[in-house]
Order: sequence, then structure tokens, then C-alpha cells
Amino acid sequence: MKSYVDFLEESKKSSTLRTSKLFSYLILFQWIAVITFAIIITPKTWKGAESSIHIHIWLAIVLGTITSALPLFLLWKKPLEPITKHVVAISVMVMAGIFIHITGGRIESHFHLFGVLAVLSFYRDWKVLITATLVTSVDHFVRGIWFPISVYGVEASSPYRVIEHALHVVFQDTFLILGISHSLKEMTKIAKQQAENQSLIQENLETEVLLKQQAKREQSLHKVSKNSLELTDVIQIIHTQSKELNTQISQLKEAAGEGESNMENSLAQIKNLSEITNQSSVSFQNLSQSTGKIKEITNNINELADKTNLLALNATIEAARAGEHGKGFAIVAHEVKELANQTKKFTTEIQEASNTFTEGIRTNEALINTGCQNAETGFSASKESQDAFHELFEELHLMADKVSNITSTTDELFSKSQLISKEADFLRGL
Amino acid sequence: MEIHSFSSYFSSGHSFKFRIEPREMIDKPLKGLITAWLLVIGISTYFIASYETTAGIVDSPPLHLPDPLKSKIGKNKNLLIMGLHPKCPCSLSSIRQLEKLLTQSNHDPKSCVFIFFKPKNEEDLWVQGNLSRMAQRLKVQNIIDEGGDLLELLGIRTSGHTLIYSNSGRLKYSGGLTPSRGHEGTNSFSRAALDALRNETQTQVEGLVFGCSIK
Repeated sequence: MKSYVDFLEESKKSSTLRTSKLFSYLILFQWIAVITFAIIITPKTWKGAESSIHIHIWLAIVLGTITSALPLFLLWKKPLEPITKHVVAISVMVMAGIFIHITGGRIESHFHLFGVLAVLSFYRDWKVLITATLVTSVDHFVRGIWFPISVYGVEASSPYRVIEHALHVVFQDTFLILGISHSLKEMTKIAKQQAENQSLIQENLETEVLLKQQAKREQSLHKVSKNSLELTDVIQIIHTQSKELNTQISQLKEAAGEGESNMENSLAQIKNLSEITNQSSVSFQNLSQSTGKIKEITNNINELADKTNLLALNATIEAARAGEHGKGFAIVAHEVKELANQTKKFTTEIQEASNTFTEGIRTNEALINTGCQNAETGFSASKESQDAFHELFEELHLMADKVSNITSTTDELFSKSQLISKEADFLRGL
Repeated sequence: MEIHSFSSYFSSGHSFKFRIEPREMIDKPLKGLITAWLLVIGISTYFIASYETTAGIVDSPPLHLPDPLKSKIGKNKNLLIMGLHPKCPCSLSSIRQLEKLLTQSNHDPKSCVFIFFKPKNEEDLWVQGNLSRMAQRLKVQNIIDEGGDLLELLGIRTSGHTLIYSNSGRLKYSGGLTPSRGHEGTNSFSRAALDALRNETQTQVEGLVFGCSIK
């Protein structure tokens, strides 16, 4: 909230800006006026039939422009700076001097100086008037020393003349300063009134805001009561559901425990199976080796049969040579030959059976190996399943703890929401 | 900073306090600019004042009224002669000062003679201007001095140079009426001229003359 000092400062700022704008126009007007007057009144200076531009023209253009330029620049760029007011004061007083000069020092043109002094009081700053007065005093003082005739009309003047001249300005200053003081007091009074009005408006606004806030509070309490009741219901549902969940988790825990122990049994059985298949594999390997030996034996028998056959052939030949005497021998040789042929036939059958047997052993061996590998894979998978069951069990255990916590928390929430509802009802009743 | 309480004023009972705020900071470039600005204004003012207060050249006028002007003198009256360059803007102040002088001394304008310089080979129209119009308004006697011989005879070389001769033709005052060039206002020269017109002094007085050169 603004204090009366803020209102006063704002008012002063606005007044300074207004006055700055006024002086911008005044300085421009003065500048144009002095040039115009110089051109009209003293265009040329003469020496016989010859003429040249009068020094007043240069005075108005050069000095007038320089004197006006700086205050106009400051009024444009820094209208609120205190230095601007003093530069303006110096400028308007110097321009008033130039104006008096160009108009030939007429008494009437001196009124311009006093008029400008009055306008300077619009700044409501006594220091500006002092600056303006100093400009006139310094001008008169300096000219009183070097050019007394131009100010006092005599070649030698009393130093007190400057005081006499300055007193005329001081006389006006005194009343202008009193006017400034009065004006500042009025501004302060108005600022105080504004601050007071502002606080009254603020109070009214605050009361209105309080009433609105009260209504909103009641609405909110109603909503709180309603929502807390709904919340109680919801909490109750959560409480029931969490209890159910807890039971289900316990059941799951049991199932997971059973699963884990079942998996342990399966693992033991798979392990046994694996051992058995390993043993079977070894047995089949032994069998395979035995069939190899049978093959070797049948090969030997086969060789013996061939040799016996060849012997029988030789005996037949010899029996033939022996003629009649050899007939019986030939019959024996024939029989031996038959026996050898049957032996060979049997060994071939044995070899074929052995080959089939070996093939069967190899197939079974491969199958047993595959079974072994499958048993190992099954063992790993079962092991993983057992671990998973274990983890599941652990997780369920943790979950059960959390659900228990939720259940107890919902118990607390339930009782607290009931309390909130009661408190809201109590507040609404106030 | 509060210096002191000022008196209450009028009957309102308000009290006024002078206040001076802490010294305001002005940035260096601006300070320099303002100083330069003040210097330029001061120097320019000095030169202007110097120019304005530089008196024109004055020759010694004849102690007795020359013959060509004796006819202009009135009965029992002083004769005031003012030499003028018709186009000199500074002499407007001299004529205005003379106007006041005539009122203060109750001197008859007909006993005043304005001698206007006119260069040779120039038309009479050349003389017409603000000064001739003021002369007509004042109803003084006018003489157009072609070539400036009469003015030379009177020792007048600067516009606004005023001579006052007594009824008997004796020189009483020689000088200007303005305190500086083109600047009117009461001054010691105009006062001396006034004394001469009022016959309040018998001594011959001389003053400075400010105006354009006649030749």
C-alpha cells in the first residue's frame, strides 16, 4: 500500500514533468523570438554606405542556439534530474538577457525576466529560483566591474548597485518561495488525503475479501466433510480388500511352498533318472563292446568254415583220386563241406543278428544319451523353477508384510477420516 | 539536510522549512558539458558587452554654432542637434532616449535638428527608414546631409552623437544619450544632456557616443 510520501513523490514527479514540457516550449519560443527580433530590429550594422550583418544576429543565432540546446536536450533525456531544472533556469535567464539586449534594453522587455522567474516557480523548487537569481546577480556583478555603463548607465558605479538590482529579483523570489511552500503544503495535504482514502478503500476491500473467504471456507468445509465420509467408505473397502488380499497371498505362499517342495522331489527323481540312464549308457557301451567281440568270433568261425570247406574240397579231390577206396571219405568230405557251409550260414545269420543287435544298442545308446541330456536340462529347468518358487515365496512373504502394513494404515486412516469428518462438521457449526 | 526553520507566513500559520537534499550526483560527461556550456555563455556575453560598450569615434565639435545652422535656433531656446546614420539600428535607442529627454526637459521638438547622412549619388529614398519615421513622429527638423560635409563640420562621426547649443550658440553638451550601443536607459550622458537642456549647468560637458560610423 502506498504511503502519503509515495503519493507526494508521484505528484511532484508529475508536476516536474508538466513543467519540463512547458519549458521545452518556452525555450523553443524564446529561441525563435530572439532570432526573429534580431532580424527585424537590428539586421545590419552600417559604416557609411557599407553594411554588414549586425552582431545581434550572430548573438541570437549562435548564443541563442547554444543557450537553448543543452536545456532542451536535458528536458528531453533527463526531465526529472534536478540538474535539468537548474540548467533550464540558467538558460531562460540568459535568453531573457539576450532578449533585453536585442530589444535595446527597453524597460518593458525587463518584465520578461520577471515573468520567466515566475514560470520557474512552477517547478516548486526554491533552489531553482536561487540559481536564476544568481545568474542575474553574477551578470550584473561582472558587468558592473568591467562594463558598468551597460548596466548602471554610469562609467563608475557603486558596488552596492548590484545589491539594489538583485534585491528587485529577491523581492519577487521571496513571494515566489512562499508560494512554492504553500503549494508544497497543499500537495502534502492532498497526498495525505489520498493515502487516507486509499487505506479506507483497502479496509472495505479487506472486509469484502474476508466475507468471501468465509463463504468459501464454509463451502470447503462442507466439501471436506462430504469427501471425508466418502474417503471413509473407500478406506473401508480398501481395508476389506487388503485383508482379502492378505488371505490370498497366504494361500499363494502355501502353494508356492508346496511348489518348491514338489520341485525338490522332482529334482531328486530327475537326478535318479539321470544316474540310471548314465548306468544304462555304460551298460550299453559294454554290450556294444561284447557284440564287437561276438563279431570277431563269428569272423573267426567264418574263416574256419572257409578253411574247412577248402579242406573238404581237397578231401573230395583226394577221395576222387582214391577211387572206390575214397568213396566213404568223399562222403565224409561232403558232409564236412555241408557242415562248413551250414557253419558259415549260421555265422552269417549270427553276424546279421549281431549287427542288428549292435544297431539296436547304438540306437538305445543314442536315445539314452539324449535322455541323459534331457534329464540334465530338466534338472536345470527344475532347479530354476525351484529358485523361482523360492523367490516367489520370499516376495509373497514381503508382500504379505506390506499388505499387513496397508491394512493397519487403512485402520488408522479410517479412524482419522472419521475424526476429520467430525471436525469439519464441528467447524461448520461454528 | 534541514538548515533552519523559516518564518510562518501570512495568517495561515504554515511553517516553511528550507531543505537541501544530499548533493546530487552528476555524471562526469554531463558535468563537463555544463561547464563548457557556461564558459561559452560567459565568454560570448563578455564579447557582446565589450562590443556594446566600445564607444564610437568623436571629433571635437565647434564651440560655437556654425553659420549654416544658426537659422534653426529658436528664440530663447537651446538647439539640440543629433547626427544620424539613417540605417543605424543602434540609433533607435538614441532617439527613444531623446524622446524621454524632451518630455523631461519640456524642450520644444522644433528646436531639435536631426541631420541624416546620405552618401553622394544615392536617392533621397535611401534616407527613409525607422529613424526618419521616428523623426517625423517627434516633429523635429530634418536635414539631409549629402556627402556628410555638415556632419563633418560639426565633428559628428558616430550616429547618435548629440550636440546642444545654447540660445547664444555656445556649445553646452557633446556626446551620446545611451549607456551603450543600441541600449536605452537612464545614464550619466543623458542626465548631462538633460541638465544642459534645462540650463541647470553652465559648463560644457562631453560624453561617449555609441552607434554606427557615419562614414
